[in-house]
Amino acid sequence: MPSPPLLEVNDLYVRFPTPAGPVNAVAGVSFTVSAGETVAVVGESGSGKSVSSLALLGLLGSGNISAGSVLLRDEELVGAAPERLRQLRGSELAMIFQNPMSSLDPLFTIGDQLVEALRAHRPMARRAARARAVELLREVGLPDPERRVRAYPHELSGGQQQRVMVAIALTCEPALLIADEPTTALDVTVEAQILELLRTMQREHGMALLLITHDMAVVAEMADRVVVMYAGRVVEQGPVAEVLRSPRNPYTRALIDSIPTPATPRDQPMPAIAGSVPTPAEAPAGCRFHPRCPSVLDRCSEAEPPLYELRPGRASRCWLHDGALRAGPAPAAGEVHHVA
Amino acid sequence: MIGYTLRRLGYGVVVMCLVTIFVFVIMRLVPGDAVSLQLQDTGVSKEAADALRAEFGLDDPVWVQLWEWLAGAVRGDLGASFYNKEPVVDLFLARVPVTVQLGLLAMLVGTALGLTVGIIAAVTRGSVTDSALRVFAVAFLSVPNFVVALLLLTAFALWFAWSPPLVYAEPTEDFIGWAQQMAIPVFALGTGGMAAVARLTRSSMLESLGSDYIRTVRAKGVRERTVVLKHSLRNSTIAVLTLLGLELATVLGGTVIIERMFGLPGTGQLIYQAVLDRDYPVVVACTIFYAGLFVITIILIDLLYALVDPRIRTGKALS
Repeated sequence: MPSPPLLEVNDLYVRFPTPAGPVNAVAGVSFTVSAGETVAVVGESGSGKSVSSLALLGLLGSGNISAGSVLLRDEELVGAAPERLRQLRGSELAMIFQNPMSSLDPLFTIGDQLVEALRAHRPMARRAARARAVELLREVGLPDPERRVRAYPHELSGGQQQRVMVAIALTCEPALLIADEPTTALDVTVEAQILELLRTMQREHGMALLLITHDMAVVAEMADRVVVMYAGRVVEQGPVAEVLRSPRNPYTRALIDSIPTPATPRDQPMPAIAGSVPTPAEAPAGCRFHPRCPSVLDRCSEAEPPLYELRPGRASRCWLHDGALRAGPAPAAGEVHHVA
Repeated sequence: MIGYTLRRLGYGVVVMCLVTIFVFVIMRLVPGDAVSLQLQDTGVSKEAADALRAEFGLDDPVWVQLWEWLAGAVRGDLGASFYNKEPVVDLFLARVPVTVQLGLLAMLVGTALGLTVGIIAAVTRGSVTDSALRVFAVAFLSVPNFVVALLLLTAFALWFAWSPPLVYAEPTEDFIGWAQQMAIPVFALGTGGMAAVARLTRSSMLESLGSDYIRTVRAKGVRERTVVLKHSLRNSTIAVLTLLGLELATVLGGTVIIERMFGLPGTGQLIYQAVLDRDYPVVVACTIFYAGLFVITIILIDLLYALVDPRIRTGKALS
């Protein structure tokens, strides 16, 4: 790492209350994002990737961060005053979401929603904010911004709405933009446009981008580094090119193998990982992936492997690496972390 | 939008015609008429009674009576009371202000209190305050308004040795007296609406507070007060507006009993006495008034939807 990280997430636990008692949707997640860098967090539905990102902004609904630390430029966000988090949201940390169609308030114009974001953090005359809103809409490539600024969300297409979301996120020049599956709900052609827009904006504004996705193709196209999550745990991380070319963790390998290519035989079932991600409450003992793992060993059901640091910046959580350097302490089997 | 409004007005007129005919006919099917009720204890001869019926036109077939009444109504003549021969229009206009004041104030008080309680309950969801407010709302929803009125009267009389004045005073003459007399009726009539509005506000605000667009507003770093009072509340108004339309019917129905209890000279009292007396012209006129008020309110609420929600304004649902 050339510079100290912009964002440093350390051993983060996010707990949700359920009728059967609290469960950890995110259990001991650590990663960093440097200024200007793109980090992808990838995993299946239920892996805890969205929850982690919402937790950073203090936007969890019913859940809460039960342990760990989130440092933004060395400022601790876990346990920070709600007012401080509010000040950081939108100004330093911006976020765009999966469903642009439902992420804009249907009762206010695009312009009103942009002006609101502009004026949330700095005093700005309504007129100036209005002009800036038009400028931002032009910058994100919305055609005819002078007219669109008066449009309501339902008058725009999904791709245009996501452009508006990007414009809202850019209002205060954030240091970090978190994009939570920003293209999942969009058509493939629109997806390419939005990804291109994110890349351009990142370059022009010098933002770091934390990209949450389940799509390896998006990871390959966008990210510098990738964090692979499974059932609330980080299972592998490293530079994108390396991880995609030579995945070390069986889960990452299975994820990559399940991407269909033109060479995939059509008369056979698509390659897929059998089963589904366990819910946090029913996470198996030992390695959380072992029931679905093709390379399962006896010890996998007994104890959970630690995150082995294979070399600086490259880590994988698997007993196959036993003997390599450990990145962190091994969690005991079935261990439940309860920290106030 | 204009076409839509005109069409709704058209439907409204049809509804009012049907209500008028229905009430006109049904009143005449009820046993006893104004003449027999007036003369039953006076021993007047049958001939004299029949002469009186002929004078009122009560001996004609119902459809003839209806035709004659309609012929008068289109010229603005709603007939005269069978009792004091006063034109119904005059009787009626003298009493409308009281009912309008009562109904309007009850709706206003109910809505304002209901919204306040609902918002507080929604933002304190799951807390003791929330539970207390919900119990309070269910209590008021379950108790009929005249019982609330009686309890309030009793409570004030017992604990503060205070009771409202018995004679109605115009607000322009004696505002304090008017306010004293209206306070309990307004509150009693408003409580049902208040409880219903509070419950609906709470649930629709909770729904919107958990929505994606509220998450976006929060992600922008907007103050929580703005999140709640601007975005969440406004998104809850459609549901509350719908409820207010229905609530008006309850309040209007409630005025009949409440005006009677508190000696308020409004249309509620008028229709109550007119039904007992089989004073057909008065009953029909009052019914048209209530139906008209309701129809107009429903149309206004439909127009308000469009004001609140741009999707309705431009959508195909209403065009």
